[in-house]
Amino acid sequence: MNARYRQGPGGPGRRDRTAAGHAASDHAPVLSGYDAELRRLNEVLRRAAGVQSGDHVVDVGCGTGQTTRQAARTAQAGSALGVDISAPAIERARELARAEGLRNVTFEHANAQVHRFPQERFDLAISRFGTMFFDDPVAAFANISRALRPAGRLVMMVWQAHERNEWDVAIHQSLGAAEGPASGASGGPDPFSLADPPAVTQILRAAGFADVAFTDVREPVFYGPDVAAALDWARGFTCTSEILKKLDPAAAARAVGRLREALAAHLSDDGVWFNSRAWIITARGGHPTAQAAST
Amino acid sequence: MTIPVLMAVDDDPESLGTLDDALRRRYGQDYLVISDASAGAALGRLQELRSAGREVALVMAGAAMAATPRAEFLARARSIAPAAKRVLVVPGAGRPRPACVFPCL
Repeated sequence: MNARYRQGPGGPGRRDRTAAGHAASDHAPVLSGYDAELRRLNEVLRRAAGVQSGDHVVDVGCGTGQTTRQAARTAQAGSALGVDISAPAIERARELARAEGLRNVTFEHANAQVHRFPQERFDLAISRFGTMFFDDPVAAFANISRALRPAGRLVMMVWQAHERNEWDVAIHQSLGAAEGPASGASGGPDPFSLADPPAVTQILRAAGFADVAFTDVREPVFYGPDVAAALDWARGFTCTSEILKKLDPAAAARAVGRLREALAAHLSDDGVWFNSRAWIITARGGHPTAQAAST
Repeated sequence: MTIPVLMAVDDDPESLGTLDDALRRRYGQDYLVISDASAGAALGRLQELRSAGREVALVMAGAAMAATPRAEFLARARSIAPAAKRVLVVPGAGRPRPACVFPCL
């Protein structure tokens, strides 16, 4: 799940309700939930991942599996495994894959930080906002590194800093939390935890990755076809509901009013959109770790 | 919460794989187990771990390493991670017994 505010069931979960049960197949005419919100970013990740026919791909924090299914279609004779700590999201991912008739995709309800992946199995690890909430990032990425074949690739998308993301600034200003991201203020999981390139480089090197590189991505995110839908979506964020819960009813109503205005200010002909900034982070595994005589 | 590191190095991939697997089974929840088949790469990894502020609890040098490079590896490992315990794994009958590591931690 590509959450921003909550290590929901599934690590990178942002909302109290997960995308499970809401996300439509990406073959459906209308996307919903995160798949709709992130559709422009998704295409950037797809191109960066560059899945080849025959590749074996692991998708970390896959949510309901849009990116996993996408990888599986391209991998053809290869395979794609999606993992997420949200059981409902994984159930939904399986349903969607079955409905599409994909035979080379599997999903596991697992925490990628400690899951015992097959060693040196995968050519490529991908993630769409699914890696920001690990308890111990070095341990998590080391675990992912072990699952990659020598010189296997990591391609992940994460948020840049809070202040570079118009959607986050607008929400928090509307809710009167101008002091910074609510997640940081609340001490909760930080959706921007991988925003700082030097820190991330250090984490990935310690985890056994090399050739760490960052690509600046600027694409808008979609909040809904109209203001009412966008407000419903934004109110589903854990950070939003946490802030509103702390306010008295009158203050909460005023905050929701400001949020509605902020959303309305971003309404265009094709819905409510906010600017966003993300990183595509790439790295090469294959640090000569445990040539791990598979035992 | 970050967990401390257990590092194992050996020249023989099969022995290293067996040791790595045993360490993970026994200590994988509480320690980040890192294995490397090259002393040079392991020292580089120790540097990276130090830069990342990670605590290294234990460095193990395997039985397949020749005596001199093994001693040199442990000496250099000490300079990078002075707080880490250092262990020589000696050849013996049977599989590695990770429970034996416990008193060192």
